[in-house]
Amino acid sequence: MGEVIVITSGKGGVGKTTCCANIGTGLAKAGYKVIMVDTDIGLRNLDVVMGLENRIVYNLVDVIDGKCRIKQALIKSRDYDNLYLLPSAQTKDKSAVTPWQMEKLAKQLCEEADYVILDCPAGIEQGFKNAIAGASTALVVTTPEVSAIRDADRIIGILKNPQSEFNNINKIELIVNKVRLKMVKNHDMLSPDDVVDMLGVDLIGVIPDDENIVISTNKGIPLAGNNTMAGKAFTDICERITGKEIPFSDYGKQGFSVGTFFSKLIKGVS
Amino acid sequence: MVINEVFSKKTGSSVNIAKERLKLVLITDKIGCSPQIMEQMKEDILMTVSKYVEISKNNFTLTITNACMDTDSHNMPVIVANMPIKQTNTGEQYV
Repeated sequence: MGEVIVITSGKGGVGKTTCCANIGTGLAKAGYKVIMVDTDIGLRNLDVVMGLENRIVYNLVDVIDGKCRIKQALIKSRDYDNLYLLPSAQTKDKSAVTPWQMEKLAKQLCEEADYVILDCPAGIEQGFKNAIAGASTALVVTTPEVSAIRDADRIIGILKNPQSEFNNINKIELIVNKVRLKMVKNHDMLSPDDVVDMLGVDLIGVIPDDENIVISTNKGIPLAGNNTMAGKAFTDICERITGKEIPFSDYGKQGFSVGTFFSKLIKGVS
Repeated sequence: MVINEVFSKKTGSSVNIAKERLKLVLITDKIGCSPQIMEQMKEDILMTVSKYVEISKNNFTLTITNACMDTDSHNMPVIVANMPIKQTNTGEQYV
């Protein structure tokens, strides 16, 4: 039985789909069997970020409606034999699926894979309820911005409340995305530590605002594991998901290694 | 090093503004009432407690957190009032 992880945020545009694609890829790279599910019905995106948009035959709604078997709808990644995508439907709307159907599907998928990763739509309506219904772990993505943090807090409130509908989440962890190290250092951007203080959940990763993410999305090739700042940050998250203890760089306090090096140098001189 | 401090901890930096605004907005979101009502509640609590002990008004803070305080370990929002005592009714002074 695999673990079902939902990637959620409340606010749109904070990088849920990017995180989903890269965490899925990173886990597959580490040898785990991974199924990613795009649960954003009507606005599918994970297929293009993964570069698999030309291979879609069946989708999530087809599976749930019984028009095809799960295996027929799963698209294998170009680079990894152990990484699959179940794409969302573009023509239907979010009411085409119920939370009970999603829960059942997630159960079936986690029998086939080590990790099932659900890409949740923005908002807290039907699509969100569907996505969380099948998951036991939630990774909440936010950026160090007031608006995104407020929405993340709302989401965390819902996920922490055992009385929330369709809520089976027992682990909530935070990803702080699009961190600009220079701005954090100049006290013009909230540091990951500040965000953790505000939201009161454990941090699982910090992703720097890296141009390479745009380039990787342009190409449709996730960058997890490659030699870029964001690629390394995603590898760290994947290792933490699999239970390894990976220390955090001191992003919040002094900036990344280069900044720390210089401040140490200054300290040494003075 | 001093120069470094001066530049990095400038008062009124946008991060400090963001933190203050966020703290307020998260609290009001959780409890579902406006900052004005929060202020009113603060006044009322202060008035009630002041009947018994003298409170330092300037250091009185009222915060709402996600802390888990329920015996069934349910997560529920908690109001935490921090009221430094200046003087008790028995006459003991702390300030």
